[in-house]
Amino acid sequence: MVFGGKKKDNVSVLSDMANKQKRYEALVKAYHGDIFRYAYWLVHDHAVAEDIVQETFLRAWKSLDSLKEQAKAKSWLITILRRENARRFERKQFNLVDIDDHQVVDDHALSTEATMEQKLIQRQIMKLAPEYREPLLLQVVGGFSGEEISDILELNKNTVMTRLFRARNQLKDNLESNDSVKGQYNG
Amino acid sequence: MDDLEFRRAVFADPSSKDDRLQQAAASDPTRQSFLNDMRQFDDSLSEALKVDVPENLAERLILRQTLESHQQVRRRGRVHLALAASVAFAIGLTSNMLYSTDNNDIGTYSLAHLEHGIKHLYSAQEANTLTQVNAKLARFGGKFDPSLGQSLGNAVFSNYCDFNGITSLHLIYDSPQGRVSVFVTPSDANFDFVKDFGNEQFVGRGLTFDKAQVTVVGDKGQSIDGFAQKVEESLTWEI
Repeated sequence: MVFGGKKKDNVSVLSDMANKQKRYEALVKAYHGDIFRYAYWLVHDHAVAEDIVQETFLRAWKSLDSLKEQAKAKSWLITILRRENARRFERKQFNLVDIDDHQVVDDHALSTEATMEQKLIQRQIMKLAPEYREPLLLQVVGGFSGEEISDILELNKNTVMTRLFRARNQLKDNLESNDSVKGQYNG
Repeated sequence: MDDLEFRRAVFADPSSKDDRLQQAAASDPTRQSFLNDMRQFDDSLSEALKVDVPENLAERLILRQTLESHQQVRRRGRVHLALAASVAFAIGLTSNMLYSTDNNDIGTYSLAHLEHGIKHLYSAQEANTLTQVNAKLARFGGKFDPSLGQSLGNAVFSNYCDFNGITSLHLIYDSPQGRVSVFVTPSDANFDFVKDFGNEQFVGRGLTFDKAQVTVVGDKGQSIDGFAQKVEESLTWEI
């Protein structure tokens, strides 16, 4: 009898594991792209972004049971990612020499894909202060509503809307002042 | 809604479905065209933010988790292993053989890693340049010499992996003798060093440096001497 009971437990543990695995794989497939893009624009480095995304999903796997509402999966992942990014600064810093190397690669990759205008926009986005850039990324890359952004960033909604307003305002201003010197950006 | 309020609302969220905003735009052509402009601006923003996602990222995320949960199972399994070991001791078997799965040497971890990731790894087809590989190696304080390292070719797979909780780097190359894995593990992880190791599927060589232990692993029967030598010669370390 004892053995019988034990066996049953094992079976249900195994099917729980299989379910968890399925949920995890679905999560990866549905969101890895958006999560990577968000990470990339947060840190502006392919290798570091990938590192953070790896840590994020690993942590998501470990605490998958705490994700009760599937509809909130994406904002849940973003919250983990922001925490991982903050943790990165607490840990020993990465070797900085090779990050320089890497940005050369990034620029090369972008130059073949992005138009001149897109490159200008990208540069201006990176110039925004993080407190303006982040809500903008959440809105444009993540597709989150004002309420969702205020949940993720733990700010009240008015503050979020003001920052979004300022982010676009600054971007537009900077891009327009850039237009006049566009000719100088030939390389 | 006055003009200022309207502009602020549009700047904050051009694709808002808010009724008041929609009505304000519909009732005034200037506002409508301002709204259209901002929507266009947002389209170009979202285009500019569409960077390419690294190839096989989803597969790698799943692989890393598979390896991680395999290790968790192993850790849990150790209690059972201890029980089995004491029984074995009681009946006078040599415990060496039973403990062999629990070795802390770098070769055992390399082999275990390959065995559990094998399905994913055979299909890897990335083209990681030397610069990209070096960016990852930087974490360990090392890099491939720019000229000597070229002889290894592009890495078809390159990703951090987990050796018993220690972040390590797994690289895969297409050598003339077949696929070869290179693992880089920080030396402060204190794994036992082994020079030659293998099992019924793989054969491996350990290389030891001040900052890291490196293993080179190929299929059984494959000659890995040449490749291991190239790796040894082209790896350089920060002082």
